[in-house]
Amino acid sequence: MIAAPRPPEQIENDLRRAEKLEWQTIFWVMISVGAMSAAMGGSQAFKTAWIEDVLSLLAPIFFLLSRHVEEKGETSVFPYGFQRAGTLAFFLSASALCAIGAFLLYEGLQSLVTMKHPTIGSKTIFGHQVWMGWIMSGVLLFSIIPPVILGRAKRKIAKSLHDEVLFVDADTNAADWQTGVASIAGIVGIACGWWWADALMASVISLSILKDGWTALKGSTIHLLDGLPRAVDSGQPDPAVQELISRLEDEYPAYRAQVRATGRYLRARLEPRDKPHLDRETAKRLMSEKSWRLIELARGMRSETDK
Amino acid sequence: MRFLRGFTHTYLLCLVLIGVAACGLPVDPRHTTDTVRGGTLRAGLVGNQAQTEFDTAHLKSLAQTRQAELHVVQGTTDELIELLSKGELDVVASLPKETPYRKQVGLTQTFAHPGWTKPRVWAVRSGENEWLIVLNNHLGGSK
Repeated sequence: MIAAPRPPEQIENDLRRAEKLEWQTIFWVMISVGAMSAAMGGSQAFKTAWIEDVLSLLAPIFFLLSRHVEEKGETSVFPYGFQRAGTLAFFLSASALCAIGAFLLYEGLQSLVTMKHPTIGSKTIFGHQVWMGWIMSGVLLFSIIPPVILGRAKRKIAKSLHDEVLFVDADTNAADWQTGVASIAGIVGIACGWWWADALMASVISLSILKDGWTALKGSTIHLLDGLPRAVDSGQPDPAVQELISRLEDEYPAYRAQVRATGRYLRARLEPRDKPHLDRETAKRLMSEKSWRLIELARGMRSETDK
Repeated sequence: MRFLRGFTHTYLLCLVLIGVAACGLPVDPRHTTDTVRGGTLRAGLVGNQAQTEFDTAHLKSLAQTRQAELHVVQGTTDELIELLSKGELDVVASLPKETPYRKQVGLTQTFAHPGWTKPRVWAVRSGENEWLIVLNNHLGGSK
């Protein structure tokens, strides 16, 4: 078995810190999901915010899982190792976000169209009737603080680690307070007798879930299709990669450089400009059956002296 | 830290808003509480007189505290919920706790009585949150 690549110590430290932050995220999200479940009432916006909270557990869980898998080196069954496990997980969670976002948007719009008037009851607390809407708002106000702090801390590390799962997770967390505020606005709207405010805010929140899902889906699809590596923060082609390509093509003019990312690592290849694929004769000699499938034979370089 | 400042400001604004809103809110989107006060309390009752004795007593005292006249409609649950949803009733009393109509209407807290096999709830028109608190208050004092 060949071990996974070892990043420099600074990066290793950042990875450990990221893991710690993700555990903290899971802890706080679970607490807020629990508190919100206890206060759950008839507000659609509140329910939507709660589902978004539950969904925000996906990214940290996938990050930690893929960290665990990524450490494994190459095996005979997976000869390229598991560097892209995180990207795959990212793609799956993005699909989940899109599907659930679309469903919640449908629910919100349906409530608007059918003019559903949300009912929130009251409970006896210390001998007083307290409207559950206020309790729900209180829980929301509490639940929006930790993700903002954690999200900002994670975003910084995600850039240095070049980890798009972590970055999108951090971005989502940092923007999550807007969901909480929208949900509070929905409940205050109900209190004012505006039945539509709740369904409207629920639709707005579901749009934000859809947007998160779409961004993640785009990023992970590019990654899984071996698209040009992107900068994690802007989503635009990474200038450092562009520089690498032009330097390689300067030094090896007969070749064109191909760069792709597997997880946080980059892999560059030099491809002959005039011959894009392996010739049939060589392929036939190497493979007795279905030799048309073999289109490339490459030899890795591990230092410049390998030329 | 422009971002954090934006967050903190919004946060404080929310606190103030909720604080202000908590006095005198929620109100009813269809004004049941206001129309009942000094007007008529239109109540639906399911079941015979012996079964609804408790509910009738409470409807009477509720009408009294609201300076309203009590107008009772007897019928099946189906009919009464239909009237409630159309706004032709203000409350349907004497429903079982596990009513299948819970999605269409707003329900009070459940309350029990020694003579009953099952706890009961009252129903209000969906969305009438202030009215629901009024009913909860009234029933809450009579456990």
